[in-house]
Amino acid sequence: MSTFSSSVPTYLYATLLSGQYAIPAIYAEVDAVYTNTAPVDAYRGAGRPEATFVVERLVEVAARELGLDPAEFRRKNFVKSFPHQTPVIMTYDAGDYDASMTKAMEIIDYKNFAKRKADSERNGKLRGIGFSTYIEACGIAPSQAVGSLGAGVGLWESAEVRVNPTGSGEVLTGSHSHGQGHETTFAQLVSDRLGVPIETVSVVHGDTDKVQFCMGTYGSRSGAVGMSAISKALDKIEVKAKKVAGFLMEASADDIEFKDGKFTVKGTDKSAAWGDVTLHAYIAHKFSGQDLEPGLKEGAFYDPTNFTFPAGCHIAEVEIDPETGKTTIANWVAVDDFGIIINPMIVEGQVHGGIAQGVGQAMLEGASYSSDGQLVSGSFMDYAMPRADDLPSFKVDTTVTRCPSNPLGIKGCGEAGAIASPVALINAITNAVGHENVPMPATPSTVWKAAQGAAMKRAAE
Amino acid sequence: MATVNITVNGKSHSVDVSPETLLVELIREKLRLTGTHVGCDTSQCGACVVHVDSAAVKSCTMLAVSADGAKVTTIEGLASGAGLHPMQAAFREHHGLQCGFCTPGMIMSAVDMVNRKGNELDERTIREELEGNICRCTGYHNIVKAVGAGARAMKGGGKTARAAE
Amino acid sequence: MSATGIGAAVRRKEDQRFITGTGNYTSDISRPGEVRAYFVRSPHAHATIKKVDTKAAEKMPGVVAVLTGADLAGDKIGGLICGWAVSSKDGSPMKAGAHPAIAVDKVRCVGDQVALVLAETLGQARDAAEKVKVEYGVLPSVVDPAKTQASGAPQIHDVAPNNTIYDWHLGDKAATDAAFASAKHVTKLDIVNNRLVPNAMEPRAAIAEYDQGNDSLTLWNTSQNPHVARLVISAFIGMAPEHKLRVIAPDVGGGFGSKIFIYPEEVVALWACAAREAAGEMGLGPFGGLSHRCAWPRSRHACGACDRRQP
Repeated sequence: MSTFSSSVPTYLYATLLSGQYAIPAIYAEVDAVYTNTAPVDAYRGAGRPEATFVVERLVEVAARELGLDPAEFRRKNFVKSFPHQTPVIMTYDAGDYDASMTKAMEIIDYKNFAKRKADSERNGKLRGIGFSTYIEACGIAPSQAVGSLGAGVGLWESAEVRVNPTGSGEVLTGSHSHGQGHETTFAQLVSDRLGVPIETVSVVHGDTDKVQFCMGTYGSRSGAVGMSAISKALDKIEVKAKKVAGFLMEASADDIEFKDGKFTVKGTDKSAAWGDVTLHAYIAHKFSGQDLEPGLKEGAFYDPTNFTFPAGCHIAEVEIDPETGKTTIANWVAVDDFGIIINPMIVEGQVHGGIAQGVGQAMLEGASYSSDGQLVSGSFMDYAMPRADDLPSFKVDTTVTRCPSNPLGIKGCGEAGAIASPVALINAITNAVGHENVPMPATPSTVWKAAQGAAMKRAAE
Repeated sequence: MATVNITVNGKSHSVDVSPETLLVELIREKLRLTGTHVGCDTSQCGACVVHVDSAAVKSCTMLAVSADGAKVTTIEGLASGAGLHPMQAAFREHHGLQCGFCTPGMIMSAVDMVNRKGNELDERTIREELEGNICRCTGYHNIVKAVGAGARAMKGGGKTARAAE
Repeated sequence: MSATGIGAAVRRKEDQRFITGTGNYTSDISRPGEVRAYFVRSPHAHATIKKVDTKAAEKMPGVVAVLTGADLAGDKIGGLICGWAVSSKDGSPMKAGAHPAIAVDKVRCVGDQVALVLAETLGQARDAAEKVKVEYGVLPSVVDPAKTQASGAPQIHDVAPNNTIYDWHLGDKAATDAAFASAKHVTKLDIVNNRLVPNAMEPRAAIAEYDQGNDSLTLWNTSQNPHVARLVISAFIGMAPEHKLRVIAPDVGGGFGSKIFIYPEEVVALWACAAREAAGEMGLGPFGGLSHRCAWPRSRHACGACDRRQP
């Protein structure tokens, strides 16, 4: 078994089966079995895409079977007050599911969908729309909670902030960056807090000789947990720097105010620049070693008080050629609530990439084994991933409810797109073809068969 | 062993290679220009795209000996001087990269696209022309924006500094 | 909001190196005197290993060593672990089978590691790997999870009867059954999640280096969490004390979860250059070189065979 394979279909899956809804009772059974195939483990979202798929397919199909508008059916059942205890461990802390769905419906112009569908039909095409109002549990913390569920490690994060005599600094973080842009967003946090130019902040990660013990990057945790550790270290830096500034300006540390990289003494015109204070922290000429330890370096270990719960609404609109089964994504809207956002450009990029991977799952990808265990999709020639012309440009927006369980109010954005998107697309395709049995990946041949089957069934009726 | 005489990024090299050596191996392992990446070994991903005599080539698909006498430009030689090539700048400006692994190949393909298709590229053209380059991070959204902007920014400057050699 | 503070769409600091081809990914790293590693992998989904004959491979040009699962076991290098304990409904712990980094007596999927060839070049290692003779006793296999618990299904791990690792549950069954029983309408769906490969654009890779002067090891690998890798490789696999093992994850070309885990290849790369006996076999004895290095270069094939999501 791979490192965390046991947790994915259990604690990362079944605990999200309440979705965005107030559901009084839930029960899930999971059997884990060995097969003669390569070991499996977490992939972007890890358990939560699967939970979202189950919940959002059921909700969508139930609405269709009952003749209800899928959006209204969802709205009626949304969790509306927080905190909300689900029947499957999680306590949702904050959210506004109606707000993100309403915004997504406006952006995609839901009220005119019927007109667009009619236009497509005039051109011999099928048009469908599909919702996914997803929720995820991120950060994968606190340590005590995951420990009680069987995790062999704690899921806190550590950080160290080292300020140099000249005022530049390094952030040593456990949140390894491999595309997420931490070298920028983490420097933004420091720039914001200390009022220093972002160019003077370096972010160091990924080397056990440089960085203290830390837990790493997964579960959309780098913002909510990794940056919270940095924030905690910055709190300590500020306290220490104020003490140094007090000695420098011959005032009590309690009277020192720090804003925009400048220290001032309350009620006076005395001030000291960031660089003056950092220099004096190290030359230590203004205080004795008994009064204050020289230097300006602080570390922190941050263990959150709850999981974070990013949530939102994706709506996919597709047009299908019933003659070929080819599905074209006509429109994609994502409105996500990630709490406080550090860098909207990077967050949007994360959403784009997540959607693309989810679309890959829904339409293209599948590791295929022969019955005797040979992997027949063993290279990029056989395993189809989305290419540029398989995808549209996406319309991405946000709503914000602050995450109450960490100092920065961040919920996390890395996995959301991959969690939300597969089911939005399958809901759209099934809506278009009028047939609920469309397995993933919904390749042209699969969609063609579903469309033809539905058409024949309609003709027979 | 065979000797390959090759000009890479304006610099001449004479390299002894075994006959089965791929161009990408020569570039990465003999010349230590590691900006050109190998993502798949099956000519699918495009991370290894370089320009050979001004045309985009997947360097994992070409034998080093076939490049004897050729002028090759890799990502390291795309910009003239210390600044960035307009396409490189556009990728940064439009957040057209995340992990960066596919990026050199994407940029080399994009520049080749502009050289062939001109400076005004619509979204459909860009998406179709990027068919041979896979990105797993960005969902292509910002790559498409970057290529369009980079193409416009290349106007006047025209082709790449070295492609004109 | 400042131009570079919280909420600003600051352009990325890291981009300069990626757009100019000056990033530093694991496979871009080359250490002096490094040898290249290539794995002999099982062509069978399920088979016993009767014999591994490395003699012909050892005589191939450029080969410095051919190592097997028996060598690994002989050096008491532990197997890969699962780090999250999930219990069955009856409270019994999950039944996880042994997972050696190189198979010893049995292979359990196509692509399982069977032997390691170290040579001066990757091409030489690959050629020599073809000369490793493995005698398999092919067993019936089972691929479809739904068929694994049937009577007569092939048994994959002795510790897991009926191939069952755990049967787990969550929630209130009685309350849920009652709710369905009283529901006006019940919607039923059968859903299969398709099996996926994360396929970060950078394939996995590892380079290991042994420093004799300090008696310490360094591993460069494609990891999302190098400290967790060090902890597991040290505390559970027993490669080296934690303070004698440095793990560096340099630029990593995407992960999406697949680079969280500790994989056999990086463990074997470390072992191959750490084990003193192996060093002797490699002809790089105490004075043969400053250090022993072993690079497992990027391999898309191995990624395809190893990195998967839950089916």
